[in-house]
Amino acid sequence: MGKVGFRLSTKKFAAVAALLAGGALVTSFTAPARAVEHKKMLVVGFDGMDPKQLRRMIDEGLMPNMKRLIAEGDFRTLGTSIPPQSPVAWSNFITGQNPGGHNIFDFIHRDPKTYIPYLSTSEAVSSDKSLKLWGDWQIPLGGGEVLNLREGEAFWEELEKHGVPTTIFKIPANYPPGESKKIRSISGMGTPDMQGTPGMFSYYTTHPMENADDISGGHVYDIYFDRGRATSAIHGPANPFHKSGEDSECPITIFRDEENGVAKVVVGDGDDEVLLKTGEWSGWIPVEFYMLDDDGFGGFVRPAAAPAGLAISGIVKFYLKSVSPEFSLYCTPVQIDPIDPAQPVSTPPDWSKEIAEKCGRFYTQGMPEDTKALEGGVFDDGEFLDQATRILEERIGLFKKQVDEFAAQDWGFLFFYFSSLDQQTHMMWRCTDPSHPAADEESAHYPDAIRHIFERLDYAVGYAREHLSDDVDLVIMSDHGFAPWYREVHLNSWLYDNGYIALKDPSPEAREQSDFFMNVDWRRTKAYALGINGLYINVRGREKYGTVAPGAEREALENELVQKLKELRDPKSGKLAIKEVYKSDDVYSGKYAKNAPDLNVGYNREFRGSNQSALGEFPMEWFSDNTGKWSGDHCIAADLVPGILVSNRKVRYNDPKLYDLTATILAEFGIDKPSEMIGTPVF
Amino acid sequence: MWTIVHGVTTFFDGLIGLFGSMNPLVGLSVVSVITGGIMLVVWKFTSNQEAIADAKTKIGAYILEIRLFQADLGLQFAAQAKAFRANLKYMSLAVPPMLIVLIPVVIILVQLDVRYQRRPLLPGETTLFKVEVAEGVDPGDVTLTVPDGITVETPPMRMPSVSEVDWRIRADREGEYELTVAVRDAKFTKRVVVGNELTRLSEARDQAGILGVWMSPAEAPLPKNSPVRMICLAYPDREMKLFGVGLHWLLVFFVVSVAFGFAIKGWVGVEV
Repeated sequence: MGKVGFRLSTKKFAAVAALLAGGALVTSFTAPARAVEHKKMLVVGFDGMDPKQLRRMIDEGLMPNMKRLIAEGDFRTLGTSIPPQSPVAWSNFITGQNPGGHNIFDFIHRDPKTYIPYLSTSEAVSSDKSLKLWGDWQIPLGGGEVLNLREGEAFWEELEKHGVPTTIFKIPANYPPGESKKIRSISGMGTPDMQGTPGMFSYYTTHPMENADDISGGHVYDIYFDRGRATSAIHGPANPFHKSGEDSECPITIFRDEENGVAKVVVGDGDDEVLLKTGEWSGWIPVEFYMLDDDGFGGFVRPAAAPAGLAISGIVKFYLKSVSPEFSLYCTPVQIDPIDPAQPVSTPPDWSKEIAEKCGRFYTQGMPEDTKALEGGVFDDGEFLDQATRILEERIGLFKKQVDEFAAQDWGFLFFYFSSLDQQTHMMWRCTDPSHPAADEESAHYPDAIRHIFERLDYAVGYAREHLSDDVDLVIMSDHGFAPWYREVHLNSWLYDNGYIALKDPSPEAREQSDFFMNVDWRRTKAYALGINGLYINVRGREKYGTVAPGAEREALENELVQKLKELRDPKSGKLAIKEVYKSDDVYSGKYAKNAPDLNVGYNREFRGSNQSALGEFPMEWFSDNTGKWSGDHCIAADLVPGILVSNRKVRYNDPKLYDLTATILAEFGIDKPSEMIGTPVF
Repeated sequence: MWTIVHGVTTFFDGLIGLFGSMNPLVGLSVVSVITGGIMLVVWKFTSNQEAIADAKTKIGAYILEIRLFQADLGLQFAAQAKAFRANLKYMSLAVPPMLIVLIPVVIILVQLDVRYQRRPLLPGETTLFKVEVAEGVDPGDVTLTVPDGITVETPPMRMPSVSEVDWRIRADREGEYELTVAVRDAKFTKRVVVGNELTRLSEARDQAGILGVWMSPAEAPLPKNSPVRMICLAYPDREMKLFGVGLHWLLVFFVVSVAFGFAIKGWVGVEV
């Protein structure tokens, strides 16, 4: 038997050779140049690390690893975004642009055609195609999808084009994680729970809570024990088989032994059980939500017979708060299970499973520290700190694993994000600041709440230094700093009292009770504040009921507002409440700058826009004491809350910004930054 | 009955113990191969080999007839009916030996299940230790004593509505332990294994009957009419991997035993 192959004549061979050579030539001109190999760079993001606090902690000897790093390299403040809100700031870093380039201007945006606020970072789009059946039943004919609303190219896409092995761990504003063949990423802030919310806890109690309906981030369920046994349910995603879209449920049975102070939770049909003492947390418990529930198609299909695809799994942790005389059990928001994700939380989609198999299951929710449980009175300060510490330790465990794997790589880039400092500084500032209006006897028990996190983050830095070789570029950065928040500014109330907003019903009841701008008479309104820092002119032709002509009239109004707002004083202290009002034309560039709020209010230290005003309520006063648990903040003038840049490399200039760091990463790998990126390399 | 079951279990302890230091797949594969051989031999001596061969030959002939006479619809239908009847005959011949083969296979499967389905606890792992009491017994009367190497992490969780009392226990060190449950004057033990070895594990010790004893061979049953109905604890699932791919032991067992049986049936001269 002869050899099988192709025989080419000399002429044909010459032609093929010429084609191949030509192809190679064309490829050499069109394919991106290969990046600088053997380069390794680790960037660690400490959300909310403030330069002044960092300096103080170093001086107090709590951060020896950071101290050594600074001694070998450099420490600079890092210019944050306008406004200094995490999704905005991290998007600046991700895209190397200002918000005009990535289209995230605030936590909250508005639709100018309806004035309705919506979350700025992602949007869930549900399918409305379904086959209607009898009763409340239907068969969905299409799946919904979640869209990442951040525009602009992420820096890791550039790294990917140049073949740089890249891992992005939990960076904010990256949900859902994009598709990629080479990048590994886990989504961070913005990743919802299984109900599609930022985080909806469940609280089962025999002690009815008066404020149960006011708790925004959780459901309180009243339960009743009969011979030591009670039943309830964990709520999951909306059931697409119900026309009404009601939540799917996983039943739970709770037993309690009052004398011994223990309780047992049986999840589902007994697949998982957990026994807890008072004050204990469980590990991760898998929960399954059957879309064909107990009444499955009118009892025609039982849950146990449901095909695997009709059961959606998640994971929860329980915390047994008390057993007797009143019973209280906290259950975390249902997390997307990294081992069996109902929606992808990683790129590639099965990478979350790989991590969970190595390190154990982990919180996939974007910001898992349950600030809402603390604000709602479900957690006390100690319980919140306990949960937050567990989350931080879980994250440190994941970090160590990533560092170990990175250490074994020849080259590449790793970004790793820690949320704990930001969330705990928001909630615990009052514990460290006796002059805060929300400081009380309980908060005084935790003066070291924030110091402890600095210590643990320093441990993480130490681990990275110890396990990575000296030639690895190590960058520690934060998106913004922090400040106390003593006084709430009800900006919309000020706008109303100064004649910029008209209300349909100006009575005190209507002002305080109607939210989402439902009480605004748009046809007589000139300007309105929406989001924490945004202020919009009601521009004719842009807004549905615009009243202000674009051009000179709009500019005059903007100038008038800037001047008046910068003179706004707090009657209690006489302090100026607003340090700077930024005009969008002055601070934003890029193709989405047209979507920006016309003005951005940069509050002074100790002040911040109120939550009521941000969502369109109109309290009677312009200022009030902030007596909530959320006591520290950073949504103020950008120059008052810079972030940090610490590196084992010398920084070339004094005033680096977040987007300069993006350009730096690309430059370190020998990659020319795309024309949209506005930063300058700092090394 | 327990003495016989225990004898069988001890035999499997010895057999699988020969491969104790190797990958669990090795012992499982060896038992699967032996099972394949046993199935073939039992089949040979419990089936009507001549009748089976005859039925298979006829099925082949009728299928050939269907292929050859495609143009003759009448012959086609007649051949299909005959093939169908021959098939029924073949199946009726296969059922009795199959039922007989099933007995040793089930016994082997149960013995494999108690070794390959679960793994022992690892040091640091926790599990629930549950005691179900008989009607009329107060769960509050039950006490638990553990040896050094096991820690009881919680007070008893008494559930009178389901006649049960639970504890959460933690494995501290590798070893085999006997935990003692006492109700009034009666005492009962439950074996708990901590470590990484391949060994038989019993999740539940109960008042099993004759069949139950065969189905729960890893531990002796509780005495009949004792105040404790069942003692149980959950072991984690055992994960077995071949070249990084997870495999369930049942899949390995069926593939290897059937493949081996078919591979040697010609050599042994068995008509299947």
